[in-house]
Amino acid sequence: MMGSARFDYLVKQYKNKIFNYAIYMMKNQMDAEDIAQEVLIRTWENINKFNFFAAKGWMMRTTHNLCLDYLRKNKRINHYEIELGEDSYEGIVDQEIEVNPEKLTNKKITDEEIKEAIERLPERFKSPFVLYELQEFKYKDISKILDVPLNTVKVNILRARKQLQKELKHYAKERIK
Amino acid sequence: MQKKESNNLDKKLTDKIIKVAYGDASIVDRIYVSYLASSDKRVNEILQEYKQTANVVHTIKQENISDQIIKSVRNRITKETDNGSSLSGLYYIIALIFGKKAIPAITLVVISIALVSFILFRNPTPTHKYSKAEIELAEKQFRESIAIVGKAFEKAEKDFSNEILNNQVNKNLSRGYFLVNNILIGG
Repeated sequence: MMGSARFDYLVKQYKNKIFNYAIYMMKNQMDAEDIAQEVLIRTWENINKFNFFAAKGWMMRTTHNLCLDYLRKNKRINHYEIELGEDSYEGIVDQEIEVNPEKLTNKKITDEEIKEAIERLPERFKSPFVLYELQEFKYKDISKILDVPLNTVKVNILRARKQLQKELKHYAKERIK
Repeated sequence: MQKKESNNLDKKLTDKIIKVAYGDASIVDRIYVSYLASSDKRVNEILQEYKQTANVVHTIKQENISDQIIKSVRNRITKETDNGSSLSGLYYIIALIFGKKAIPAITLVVISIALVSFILFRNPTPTHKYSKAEIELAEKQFRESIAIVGKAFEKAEKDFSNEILNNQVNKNLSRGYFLVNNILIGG
């Protein structure tokens, strides 16, 4: 039937995007696989209910919500993130860059280090960062997926970049030691 | 106050540098930051740091989900579909009929089917083949009706010659001749 063909197309197109987003959110492959599986099943169940041309956004939004539910149930949301206000991150990052502009240049950063650093980002920075930088979504789409204002998306991506840089400096320091 | 303003300026500049490094800054900002980086060592260092990170971020390869997961999803879906096949089929038909977007498509399909059926299955006027018995019966009835008509004509001819000619015409003619003779002989 038509629904089956649609589903096959969506699975082929977005299975890896869903899986990769879930990996960064859940920080482990097993949970990411469970999330991806659940998203695909929900996609099948709702295949005739959502607009096919908006399926990508629908699937990513479902993935994001499932990840958050899962993390909340397992109480794995970063408490550090909740305790700090938005400006605290800004202050920490900028101050470090200004006072101690440590060079990362000429020090090879590996994929794994970057991935780990991305995983360690607070959820509200990580989600827009992964969707924008790794999944190549537009600001507008990310705003819809995460259900946050467009400007918040832009600001959080910028903060994620700064935070990531800080994390990588940490790696560099560790190496020197 | 001045320090705060200076920090604020630095923050704005840092934001611009980061955007340039990640490749989503405006052309004006790119030119501005490139110009600053060429003259300011610190700006150049920050730009290079972020550029390096951005390059690695943009080249991260995506993990592929295992085929086993997709298989298990398909199996689960197949089971669910088998269990509720009649219901889902019914739902599908209802959705197809009442779905606003499907109506023009369905109308088009129905009209096309009707047209094609009309062209393909159009029959000429039906020809009925009579059985031998029916033909024989018809012939018999035809002969009988001809015989009846023949008898009627025969009877009419007899009546005409016997009754009308003899009684009505011949008698009056004879009487006429008799009268004419009497007058002529008598005169």
